[in-house]
Amino acid sequence: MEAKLIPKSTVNPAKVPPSDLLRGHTETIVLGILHRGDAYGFEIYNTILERTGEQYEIKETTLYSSYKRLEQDGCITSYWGDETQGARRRYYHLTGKGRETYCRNMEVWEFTRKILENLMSVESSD
Amino acid sequence: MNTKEYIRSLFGAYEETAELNDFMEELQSNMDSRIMSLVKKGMTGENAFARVSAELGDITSLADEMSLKRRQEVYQDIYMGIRNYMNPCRIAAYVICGMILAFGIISALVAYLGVAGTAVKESGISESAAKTAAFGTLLLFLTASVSGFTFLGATQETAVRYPLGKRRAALYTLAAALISFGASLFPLVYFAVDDRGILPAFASEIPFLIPGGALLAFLVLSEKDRLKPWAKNHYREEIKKSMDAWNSAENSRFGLFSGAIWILAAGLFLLLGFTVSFKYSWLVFVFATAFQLFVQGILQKPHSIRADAQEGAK
Repeated sequence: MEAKLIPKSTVNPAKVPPSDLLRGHTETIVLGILHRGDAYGFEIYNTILERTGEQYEIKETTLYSSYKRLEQDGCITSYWGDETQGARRRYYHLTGKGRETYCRNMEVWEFTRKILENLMSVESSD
Repeated sequence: MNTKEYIRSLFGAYEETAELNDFMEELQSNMDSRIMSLVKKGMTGENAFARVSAELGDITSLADEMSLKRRQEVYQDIYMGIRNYMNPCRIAAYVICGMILAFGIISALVAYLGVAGTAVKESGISESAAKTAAFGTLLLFLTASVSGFTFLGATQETAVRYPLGKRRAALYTLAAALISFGASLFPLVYFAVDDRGILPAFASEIPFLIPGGALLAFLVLSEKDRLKPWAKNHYREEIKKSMDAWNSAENSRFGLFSGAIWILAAGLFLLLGFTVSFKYSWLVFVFATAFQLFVQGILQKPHSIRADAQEGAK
């Protein structure tokens, strides 16, 4: 849904710098992905790439910062997987608080999106 | 360059913490997974690595955050940091050494009580025979466990220090073994030889204690600094801070004050000693000490307040 923000016809997404608008929603994006089940960093990153058709490359460090913040806020918890081969993976799990935060953020987002759409379409029609 | 080395090089300048170590491990597994997925799509390993390291972004803000947090936890980490450098083998070895020591102590007690019990029945066996038996039993267990602990301790990496090499650790172990063997030989011989036990006891421990002590002294004196870079910086800062405090104007004034106080006190001591009595004149020094502490208290108070104000201004 975030990809919709960039009008397809006029802007080449690859040239658009990662906007603050998108980055501001990183935490909600992560919460949304974890809503489907526990995941580790690579899976979360991959999901974001797939969903945006690899148009929006979020920096991994941005994700790590948001995991850290979310964990501190009690929205997610993490645990080490018991991989028998290779490096251990750190999985993230959505908590009840995280679920609440996600629902609240989605409500706020829906509201904001409608307002913005109305405001901006008025401006562009002038 | 593999991902592990790459990540290490990224965080090389940062202080190690449990949090950072965990993060590095997490980062590595994620990067490896990402590289594998790109290689599966047909990218070469090198290109995949370049792409993934570009995707990572700037780690400095994250690392700075962890490193900042770390400074507050420095003291805690000095004591707790060992947790991160333990593996099951080491833990097992520590436990075994502890068990050997406990076993030695229990056996020594059993031996003591056993021999002491027979001593009551057969008057020929003396009390010192029981003690001899106890120390004799303890001797090998103590030496073994002390050696074990020394080796483990010397090869233990901590948050603050790098471990010693195996060869050097072995030399320390030898020194510890000689010293603990010599030290426990002393009571053994002392109680074993009925009359004038002290000389033979000294004689028997010296061949172990002196080489052991000499070896230990050599090792300690030739020891290199094994502090990790962050710890070195931290100590340097601490030393600088205490030096600054020491060289402050308050301290030099305090030095002058206390010099004056003690010269006065000595003068009064002599004066009162000759005029009244030396029996009471020494009390001057008690007052002088109290007065000096009082002056110190007065001088330090504004200094610390000023220092706080300076810190606050920063």
